[in-house]
Amino acid sequence: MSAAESGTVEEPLLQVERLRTWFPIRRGVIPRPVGAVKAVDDVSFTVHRREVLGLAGESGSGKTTIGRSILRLIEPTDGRVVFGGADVTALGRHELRLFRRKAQIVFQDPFAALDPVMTIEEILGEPLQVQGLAKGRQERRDRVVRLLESVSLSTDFLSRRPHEMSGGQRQRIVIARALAVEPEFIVADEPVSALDVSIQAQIINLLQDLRDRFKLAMLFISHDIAVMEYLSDRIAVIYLGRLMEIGPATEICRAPKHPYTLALLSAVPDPDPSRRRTRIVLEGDVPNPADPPSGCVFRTRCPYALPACAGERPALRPVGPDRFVACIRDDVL
Amino acid sequence: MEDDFDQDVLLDVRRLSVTFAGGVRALRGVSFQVRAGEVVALVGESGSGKSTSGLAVMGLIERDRGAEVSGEIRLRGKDGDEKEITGLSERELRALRGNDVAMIFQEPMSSLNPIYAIGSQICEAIRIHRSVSRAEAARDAREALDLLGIPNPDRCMVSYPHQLSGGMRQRVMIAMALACRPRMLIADEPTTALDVTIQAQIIAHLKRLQRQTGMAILFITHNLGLVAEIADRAMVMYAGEIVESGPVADIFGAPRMPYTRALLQSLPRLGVTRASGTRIEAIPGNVPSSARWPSGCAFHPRCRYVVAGRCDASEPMLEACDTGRHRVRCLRWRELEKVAS
Repeated sequence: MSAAESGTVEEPLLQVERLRTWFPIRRGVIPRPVGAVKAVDDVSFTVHRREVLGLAGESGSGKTTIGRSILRLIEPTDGRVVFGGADVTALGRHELRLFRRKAQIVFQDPFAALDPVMTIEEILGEPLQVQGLAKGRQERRDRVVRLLESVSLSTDFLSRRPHEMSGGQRQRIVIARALAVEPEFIVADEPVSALDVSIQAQIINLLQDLRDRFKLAMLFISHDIAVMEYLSDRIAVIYLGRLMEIGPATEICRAPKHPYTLALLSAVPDPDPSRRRTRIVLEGDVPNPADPPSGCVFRTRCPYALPACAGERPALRPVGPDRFVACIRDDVL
Repeated sequence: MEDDFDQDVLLDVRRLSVTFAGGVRALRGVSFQVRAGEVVALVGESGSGKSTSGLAVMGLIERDRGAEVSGEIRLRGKDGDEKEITGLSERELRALRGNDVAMIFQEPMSSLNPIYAIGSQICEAIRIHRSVSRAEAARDAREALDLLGIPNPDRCMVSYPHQLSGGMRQRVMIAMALACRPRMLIADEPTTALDVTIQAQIIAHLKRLQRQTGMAILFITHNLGLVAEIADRAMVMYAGEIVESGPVADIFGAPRMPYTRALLQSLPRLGVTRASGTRIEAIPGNVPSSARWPSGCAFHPRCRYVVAGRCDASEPMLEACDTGRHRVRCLRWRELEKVAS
């Protein structure tokens, strides 16, 4: 796909090429692989500097595995991840540490992501220390205070511990910790999903502001496509470990070209009772990723499936500027 | 309050308060009614008291653990008799649950027994409430599964909970709850743990079954989108109180309570993008903790229309506005109406 995107002059910050992350299934007395869960199967995309790419998909789609494979928190099985010109999949231990100064992750659950016995000052000071970014205690404290300010928390929080804070405050700390090393790129894995509605908006706006202020690129992983449309420049839709559709966020949401994207959008409950849309209700469940359907993986639930959909795996085809869709039906959407 | 107790009213909750051990006041004088065949949503954030309200109606607040329940919960049973739930013994409650009113929860896995097949669990539920033969119960169980659009009900009957997906398990729970044909279903975040496409399936089935059977649903959720989709009437809860209630069209079309308004404005919606220049409005501050509610109007510390010395000093009542079916708990709702228009 990078060839097709060559219209953009700037070299992308992140290039994911034919990424595969398979988890072997082992059976028997002497366990041996009998198959594999194809969590991520041949996914390619790019993220430009200062760009937010949304990764949309339901549970089991592989969106989280993609994010973690890029950071090598999970080792990818195959494919390349090129970040700032260097192949991440080939990095040694020392280089990996340098890479993680540039690429950070924000997890979904702010309750599990923070060490309960550490104070906020220790939590935020740790990455500075590990990466050797602050000399001495005073400088470290100064930087921690600035980090707190950047996520709109007062210095009162320095001596507090995670359990003394609300979910929204904790998520601010998780974000501040990711920012501590001044990264260029952040994987935000469902950063607002565990929060109350009124708090969710605070964190969404915070991410928006930080992105502008720190010139961040982001991979924003979410199952909530409305949140994603608001925050992302482009959206990639993932189903059963494969890329279904990718393109500008507003275009994808306004006029989806893949039947799955259409179904996903129409399933979002609309908080406006006066607007009644026609809804495509998908029947059945997501198939088992250890035994995915042949051809197009979505065909078993697709209202537009043809016999030909069971044949070859559909390739991404261009459907407009910067837009690609993996569906052979060019006659329905 | 709605004092007219007519024949249509299935559930009549009056001044319900629940205080848990340690003095946590989860509910502070909640009153509402649910009529036969009506879908009413209880919507709120965590700690607002919406789940506690559902549990209280089911008689599931554990008083032996130091919880105090006061107020009235009157339920009209299938036999037409009116029952006062707060005064029933555990044995009487058991006869009521499932039969007159059933409840489904967010996480179906913890409500299903992992070591029994689905079919036998539904049959057990049926035979507890109705004196029918094993064969009849099995037939009804199968039919209930079929009604929820389970693709292969016979296979589902002999499956164990772990063999089913989350969406299937939730359908099984709904089938079980509906097998005894209760007149009222309490659904506590039934689709929150599910993916949106699966949620859409389940909501579609629930709506269809509700229309077919005419049962009433008390739908507890934090998701305003779902409220708009499924409910006739909505009650917005905040800090253990109902702060606004009314027909769904009024709540979404002309919200009066600043909290409801702010909540609706804080919601990312499809079509709202940065490019379009709109920014979602966050509500400042945190959801209050039930250990210590704010004084006066509980929303005053986060309200953009707060007036010091007034909103923090006196507690607003739930007042009728507009049609009279729309009620709001705000000292300033009349003044704010001008601000909004």
